[in-house]
Amino acid sequence: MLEAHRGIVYKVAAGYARGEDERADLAQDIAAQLWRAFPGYDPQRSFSTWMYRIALNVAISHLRERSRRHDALALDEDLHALPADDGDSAETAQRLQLLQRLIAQQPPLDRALLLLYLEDRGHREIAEVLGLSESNVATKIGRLKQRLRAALAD
Amino acid sequence: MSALTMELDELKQVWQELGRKLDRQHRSERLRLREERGRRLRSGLRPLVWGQALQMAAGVLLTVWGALFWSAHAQAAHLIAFGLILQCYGIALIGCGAWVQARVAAIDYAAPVLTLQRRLADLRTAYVRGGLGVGLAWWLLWMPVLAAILMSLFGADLYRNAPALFAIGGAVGAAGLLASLGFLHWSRQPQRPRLAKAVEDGVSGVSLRRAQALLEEIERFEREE
Repeated sequence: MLEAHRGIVYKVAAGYARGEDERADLAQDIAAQLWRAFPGYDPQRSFSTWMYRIALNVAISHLRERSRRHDALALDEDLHALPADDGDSAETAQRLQLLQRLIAQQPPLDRALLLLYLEDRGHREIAEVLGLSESNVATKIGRLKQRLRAALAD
Repeated sequence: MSALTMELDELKQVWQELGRKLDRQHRSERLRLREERGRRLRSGLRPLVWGQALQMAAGVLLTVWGALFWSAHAQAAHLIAFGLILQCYGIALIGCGAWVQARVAAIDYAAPVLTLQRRLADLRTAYVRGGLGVGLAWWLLWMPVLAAILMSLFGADLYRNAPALFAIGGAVGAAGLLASLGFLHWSRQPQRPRLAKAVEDGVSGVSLRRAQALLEEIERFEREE
């Protein structure tokens, strides 16, 4: 199951880490924590919700630790950018860069919300992952969309 | 279409594209991810865990020393008292360290994000405050420790030879302890935010500041409507 959902690990790591090495390190941290926690997983509950909780908790802790080490977190788009694939068109590369810039501009908790929104997760699952009420999630998603629209319009 | 004119709904498509791209890049690393599991586990909490381990080791040494001390000097009530104080302080160090270690071990990364982040912040706060308590005890603790060192190394009974030191030291220590606690309380009043920040940074370093900032951030995130 962990293998089947490995994309979650990679995407969360990409959302919270800068550069290839850091992304790989964070993905390893998340994977390690998932393996460690797996015996405690309750099969009656949603696997992706469980996985998102762990991945986002590890990623947020990682981001906070990095912020502490570097004190002020400089936003460096080049560091966030993924290395280009040979198959990427210029347009795709540009879109990916824009998306990563938008993600990197969000504070840690908002970033979690954004990642779950982009994953098209329902309000109920987002609420379960974050520990918020569904109504609060709905409000926050609304606000998030407004901010994204404004950012995209700039 | 330029990426700069991307619509909101398209972000999700780009996100999926990002996922596919990452999957391609990481496919070859699957084995490494498994093999290295646990290697970098809880790196953010490692200094805290090591600090507590050192504290517990110091606690064991003090406990053993205290027990040996009072049992070797069972003929003098004040020496028994000094040994017991050392022993109790050692046990307190072990207890505080074990409590923090247990809390760290019990951290459930599968908990909802806000719940876990709040627990981490609470843990750091408890850790720093526990450390403050352990440190402030030295206002009074230095006397029995000094007496035990002198007795252990040179057979000199400080209490019998210089009882005034204990009277004066005890009074100064108690006053210092009360003043420290009073100052900490006074500095944390809402009308003195800058002083509170300066004192907390000075007394407890960055850990408490981070924990409090984290708590404030979580509260702001929850409150934001």
